[in-house]
Amino acid sequence: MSAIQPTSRAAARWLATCILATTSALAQVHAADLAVTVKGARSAQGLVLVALYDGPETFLKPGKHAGVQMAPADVEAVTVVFRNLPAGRYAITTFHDENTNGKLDFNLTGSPVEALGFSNDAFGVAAAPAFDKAVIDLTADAAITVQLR
Amino acid sequence: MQRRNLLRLASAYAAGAAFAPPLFAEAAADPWMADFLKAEAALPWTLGYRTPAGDFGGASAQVTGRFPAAVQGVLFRNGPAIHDMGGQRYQHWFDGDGMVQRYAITATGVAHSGKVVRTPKFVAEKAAGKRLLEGFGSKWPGLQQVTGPDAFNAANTSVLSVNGELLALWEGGSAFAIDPVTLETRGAKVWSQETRGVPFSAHPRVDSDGTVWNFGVSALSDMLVLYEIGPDAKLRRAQPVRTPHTSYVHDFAITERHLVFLMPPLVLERSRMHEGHSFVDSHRWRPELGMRVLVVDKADLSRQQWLELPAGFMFHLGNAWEDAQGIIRVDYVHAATPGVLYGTDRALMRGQMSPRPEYHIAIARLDPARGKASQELLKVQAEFPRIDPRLTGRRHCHLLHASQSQATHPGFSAVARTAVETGHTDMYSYGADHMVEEHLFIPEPGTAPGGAGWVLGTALDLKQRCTVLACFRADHLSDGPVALAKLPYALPLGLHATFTQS
Repeated sequence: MSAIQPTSRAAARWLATCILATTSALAQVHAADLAVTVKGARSAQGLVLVALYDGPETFLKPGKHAGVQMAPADVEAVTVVFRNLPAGRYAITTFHDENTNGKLDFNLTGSPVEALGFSNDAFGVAAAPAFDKAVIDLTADAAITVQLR
Repeated sequence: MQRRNLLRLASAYAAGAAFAPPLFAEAAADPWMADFLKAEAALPWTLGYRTPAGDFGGASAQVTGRFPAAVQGVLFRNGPAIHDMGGQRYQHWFDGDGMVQRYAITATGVAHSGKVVRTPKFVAEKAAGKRLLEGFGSKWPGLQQVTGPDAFNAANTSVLSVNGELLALWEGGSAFAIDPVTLETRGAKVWSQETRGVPFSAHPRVDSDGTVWNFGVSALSDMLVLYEIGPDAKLRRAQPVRTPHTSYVHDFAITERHLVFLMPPLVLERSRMHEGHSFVDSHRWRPELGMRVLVVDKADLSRQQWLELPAGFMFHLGNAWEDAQGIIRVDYVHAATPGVLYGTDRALMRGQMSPRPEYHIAIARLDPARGKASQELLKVQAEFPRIDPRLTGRRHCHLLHASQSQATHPGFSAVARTAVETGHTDMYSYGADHMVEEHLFIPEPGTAPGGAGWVLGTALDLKQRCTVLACFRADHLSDGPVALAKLPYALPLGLHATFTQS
C-alpha cells in the first residue's frame, strides 16, 4: 500500500487530464465509437476505470494507454464510451478502484486485490493476458461488455 | 412384445429423451461418475465419499453413556462434501466444496447440523447447475480461467475458532467466516488490505497465550507468508519469506521461540500450470532435493535458518518443542512418497482402492546452531496427529492419531495414543467396518498441561450406515468410549476439527 492515498477528487483530476490529452490527440481522425460496459463490481464504492490500448507494444505499459475513462462504480453495470477512434486493433483493461486511490492495489504476494477485467474476457494463467487475446478489431461503432473478476 | 406396446415404449422413450435434463447426458458421459455409481452398489466404504443431497439441519443423535462436562460444547469439522455436480464428479478427494459439520454436545444429547460453505465458487456453480471452475486436482476443458487463488477456493479443509469467530479454512486462499450457530457463510476473511486474498493455510497453531500463528504458500511467487494474529483475532504481523522452490506444505509447527516448516520435495512447476494441469498435477516429486527445513525466529521473522532432512512426504506435524540447548524436536507423519495424494485420494473418487504407502510417526531432531538435522521413524502407523492443545510448542509425551489401515477400505479404523519417547501405543479399534476421522484431545478443566483429558472424535459406521461421535478417557482409550452418539444418517468423511466448550 502506498503511504499516500489520493482523494477521489485527485484521482478524478488525474484521469480528466489523461482523457483530455487523449481526446485532443485523436480529435483529427473520425472513425468509430467504442462503448464499453463493465459488469461484476462487488460494490458501488469508488470508481470503475477503463483503459484503452492500441498495440502490443504499449499494452498495459504505465502511461502508454490510448485513452482512459471512468465512471462511479455500480453493481449492475457501468458504460463508458471511447469516441472517434481510428479503425484499428485495440484492447481494453478495466479495474474497480474501490478505494479511489487511482491505482490497482496488490497484496503482499503481488496479486491484485481489486477486481479487474480485459476485453474478450481474456485472462492469462494468474497473469494479464497477451494483447492478442484481448484484441478487438474496430472498424465501425461497437459495444463490448467486460466482466470484472 | 406386442407391436402396440413397442410403439408406446418408443414414443415414451422419445418424449423422455426430449425432456431429459442435460444433466442426464452428462452423467452418462462422465466416466468417473459412472464408475463411482457402479462401485456404490458393491463397496460399502464409498458411503464416505457420496455427495449429500443438501445441508443437514438439527437432527438428534441416539446417545449411550454420558458425555463428560469437559466435552460439552460444540465440535466443528470441515471436509470436502460436494464431490459431484450436474452429473460430473471431481477427480480428487480434496476438490469437493467444504461442508462444516456442527455437533452440539450436552451430557446426554447430540444435535447435528451441517452446511456447505457458500464460497463464490459454490454459489456460482450451484446457480449454473454445473462445475465452472477447476479443483485442487481436477481440471477439464471448458472451465473458466482461474483469476487467482480465491476463484476456486473450496473452503474444505479445517476450522479455526478465534475470539468467538469461526473460520472455514482451505490452504490455497482466504479463510471464510461462518456463523458458529447457524453455519451461514459471512464471507471471505480479510485480515488486512495487504493480505487480502493471500493464502491462509488450514493448519494454524495456537500458542498457550492464544496467539494464532499461520502461514500461506503463495504458489505464484515462491513465497511463504507468515501470519501472527492476536487472541482478539486482529492481525499483528504478516511477513513474506522467499523460498527457493514452492513446495507442497500443508502444515507446520511452533515451539516457544520458533516456527518450524518441513518442506517435502514435492515442487510446483509453474510451466505445468500454464500447460493446463491441475494444481496438484503441476507438482513434481524431486527426492534428490531432500526435505528442506526452515526454522524462523518468532521474535524476528527475518531471522531464518535452513536445514535438511532426508527426502520424504508428509501432510501433518504433531508438535515441536526446544530444549535448553536449543535443540528442536518435531514429530510428523512420514511417508516415503506422496502416493496418497496421487493414488489413493484420486482413485477413491471413482470407487477404486489404490495401494497406499505406509504412514509412520517420525521424530526429527533439529540443531539450528550447528545446521544439523536427523530423524528416526517409529513403526507406528498414524495419520491425523493431535496433542493436548495446552502443550502446543512445549514438550509433549503423547500423540493422538488415527491408526490401523484396512484392506477393505481406504482410511483407518482405530484411534490411538502413542508415547513419542517409548513408541508405546494404546489403541481403540472401532472395527474393520468403521472409517475413523480425526480425534481431538480435550483437556479436563483444572488439570495441568499434559494432565487428564478426553478424546473426542467421529467415525463412519459402514454396517449401520451412520456417523458416530465418541468420547474416551484419554489415558484409557482401549477401554472404549464412555459415551457414543449415533446420527440417523451418514456424513461424508471430513478432515480437521475444532472444539469450543460451552
